[in-house]
Amino acid sequence: MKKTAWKKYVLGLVSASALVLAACGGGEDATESGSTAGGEEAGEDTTLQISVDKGYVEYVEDIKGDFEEKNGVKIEITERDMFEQLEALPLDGPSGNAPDIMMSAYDRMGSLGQQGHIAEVTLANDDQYDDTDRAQVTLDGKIYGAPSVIETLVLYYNTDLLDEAPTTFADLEELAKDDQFAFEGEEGKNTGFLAKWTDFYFTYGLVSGYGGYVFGEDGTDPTDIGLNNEGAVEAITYATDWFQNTWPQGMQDVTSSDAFITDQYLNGKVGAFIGGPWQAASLKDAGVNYGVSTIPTLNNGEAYEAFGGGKGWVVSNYSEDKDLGQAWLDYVTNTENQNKFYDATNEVPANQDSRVYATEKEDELTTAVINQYKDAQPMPNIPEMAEVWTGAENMLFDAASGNKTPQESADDSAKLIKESIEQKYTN
Amino acid sequence: MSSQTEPQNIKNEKKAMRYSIIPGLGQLYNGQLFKGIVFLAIFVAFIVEMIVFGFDAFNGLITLGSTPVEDHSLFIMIEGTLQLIITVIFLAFYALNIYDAKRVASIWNRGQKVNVTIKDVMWNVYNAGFPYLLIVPAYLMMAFTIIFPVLVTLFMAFTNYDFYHIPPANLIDWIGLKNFVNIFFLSTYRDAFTSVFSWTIIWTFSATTLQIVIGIFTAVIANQSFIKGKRFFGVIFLLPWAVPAFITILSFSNIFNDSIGAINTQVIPLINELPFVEIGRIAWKTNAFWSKAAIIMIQGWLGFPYIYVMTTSILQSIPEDLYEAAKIDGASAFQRFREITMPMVFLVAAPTFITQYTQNFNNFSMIYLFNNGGPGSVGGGAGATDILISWIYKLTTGTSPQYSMAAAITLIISALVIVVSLTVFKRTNAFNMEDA
Repeated sequence: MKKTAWKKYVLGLVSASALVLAACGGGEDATESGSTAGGEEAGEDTTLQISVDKGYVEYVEDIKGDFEEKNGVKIEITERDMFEQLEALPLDGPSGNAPDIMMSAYDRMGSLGQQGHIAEVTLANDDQYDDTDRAQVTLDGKIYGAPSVIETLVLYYNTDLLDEAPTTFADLEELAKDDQFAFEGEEGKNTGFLAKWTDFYFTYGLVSGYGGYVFGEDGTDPTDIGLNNEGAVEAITYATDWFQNTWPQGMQDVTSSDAFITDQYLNGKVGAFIGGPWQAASLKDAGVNYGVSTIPTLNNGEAYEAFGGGKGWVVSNYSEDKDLGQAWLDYVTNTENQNKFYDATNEVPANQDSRVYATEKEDELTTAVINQYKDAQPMPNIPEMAEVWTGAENMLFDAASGNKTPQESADDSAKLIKESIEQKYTN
Repeated sequence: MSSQTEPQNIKNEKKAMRYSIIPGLGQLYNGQLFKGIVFLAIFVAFIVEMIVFGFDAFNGLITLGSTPVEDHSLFIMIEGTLQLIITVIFLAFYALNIYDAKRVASIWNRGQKVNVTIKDVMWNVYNAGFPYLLIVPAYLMMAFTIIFPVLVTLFMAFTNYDFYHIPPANLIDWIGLKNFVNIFFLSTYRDAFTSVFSWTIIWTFSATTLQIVIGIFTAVIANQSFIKGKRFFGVIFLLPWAVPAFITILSFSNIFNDSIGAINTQVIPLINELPFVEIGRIAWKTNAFWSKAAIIMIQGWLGFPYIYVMTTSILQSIPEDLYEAAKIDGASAFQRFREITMPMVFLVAAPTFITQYTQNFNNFSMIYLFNNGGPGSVGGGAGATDILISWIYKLTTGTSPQYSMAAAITLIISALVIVVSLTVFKRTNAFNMEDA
């Protein structure tokens, strides 16, 4: 009796330690078997993981059938916010949890590609893109994605209050003198025309129209910062005038001016404002009337040269089958699918033929974006651009709030951006 | 005793220690077969582990990989750190082994009983080492769950882990103290660090002191015997705590909006109704000074209920006769508060108050949600109201993250918090863990 009990303990001990060992080894085993399984099945039942924003799920579901059939793969769709997905990629990728395909804003492609998170790709049917499109996805001569959506700023105006779209900034200045747009809380302030100019994305068109620039002629030279040249200062002075003499104080607050503009517009207190195409949906949902047009001509006769941006499809560098990823990129950006994309999302396609298709639908927003995009400048996608956003935001805030003169704030910001780049980006 | 038996086993202590250079041999020399075998087995296991994994891991920790993509520097660093902890644990065992050989040899020499059989050894472990048996798993756990991640962060501060060097596409390298040097010598970081750091200190002190003062004040007032409807006030004072802080902060962010926020459009005009009061609109979110004032006030409002609850419960335990006696002696209400209430509250609550300070030192959500560190900037990517922790967040997120720089600042923060807390805890005798 006693002996058998002793044996039981030993047996228990042995099996317990075996369990512990198994548990320790478990992690490794699992990943190993997982990867071999993936490799073996490559020919037969590969899956391609695609992660897209909520709004695109239906579209991908719709077009995936043909691709699955032709390439003998199964497509798995994950719904995830684009920026969230891109931020997770550097950690998810190495651990094998990242999707093979996702979308990326053009300005993120450069740094992601340079850091090795997204794969170099080629552009199929090269003739469907123009130079601007190609510049959006290219860094150092390497292409990191297939352009899919183009975006740039447009002018929204209230069709109940204005008969036709303002066409020059002089028109906008007239609006700002109209009493029906007077701001209640602060005397002498007016909300006839609003623009989120503390955010450099919105101001760039103004600065550029007056002759300012970032990173040289084609946005690739980080040593050439044209934010404190004569033209740029003139633009900042012009913006400062709006901030100090026309707009309510709250417009200087970059974190809430968006909400402020929408709020005032929905209350019928805004004649026109500069906004992005993504804002149309919420205006439509709110049931207010609006028209969309290109942004008025500046006082010096130049166009408002806003940043052109948008999104493209990219392949994860951690993907096991990048050829398949490339095939998907070619498939999803062909004219037929880009047309379908426009029908499904109402976002302006990058494909030139699809742009023509979209224009024929005579949608006001589409037309405005396509027309404005002709004057747009591709947003620099070198990593140094990160310094410009914060630096230029301060430039406008300091000038608008009266902390510094436009010239001082421009000089200080340009210096700050230059220093940060020198100190942070020395590699 | 000495006449009875001569010590049968004379062991040379030096010899036992020398044998123990290979763990287990000393124990065998001492005649402890079972112990010797166990020690030898541990030694062999460690040697095998070193050959299979350890040497590579150490080598990796030094080089951090040599081929990009193939070698993942971060994983290599983590493996190396693990190996480091395992080695330290083994070295502790090794020292113990030599000490044990010497001790057992001297027990032999003194002619006392030495545990030789398995049963005896086990009994000895059970009887004498029971507290150790219980505590060893906890220490092992601590080594891998607390020390291990802390070590990795520590190591990271001495590398160039930033957006140019993100594994596996690129390798991480050791760069020594460069990050710390940069914080103090590169203009962008230096300006940011000094102004962010000084604001962090001001913020911690003002916001926490404010919330403690309001908390104690409300608790003392609500506990006066002449106050009617205590329960009602009890509930009212708890409301700020009941709503999740991040929702409150977000709505405050709107309430403080310069142009359409309730404070400027409703509250201040209401105050202006009073005679002789004329306050203009205040630039709550576009002026650095007023942003700071707003954040401190909001934190006072958000943080006081906790202090209020704690003080209330402490007040219940102060005997009423103390106050009675003080009254008879002619002490004023303020004197009673200063001499009786305050010391009693602080005696119990001091550690909590200190944690409140450290909490606000790292109160990320308040800064991030209210104004995201704005308005304006002080360089290095930090805004005017950014505290160290929200600055670190900005350094590690975004398109050009600076992980190693953030790790270096984290180290500085931790060092500060630890030193300050320890000093204060010691001064206040807050954690008097000695037996009473």
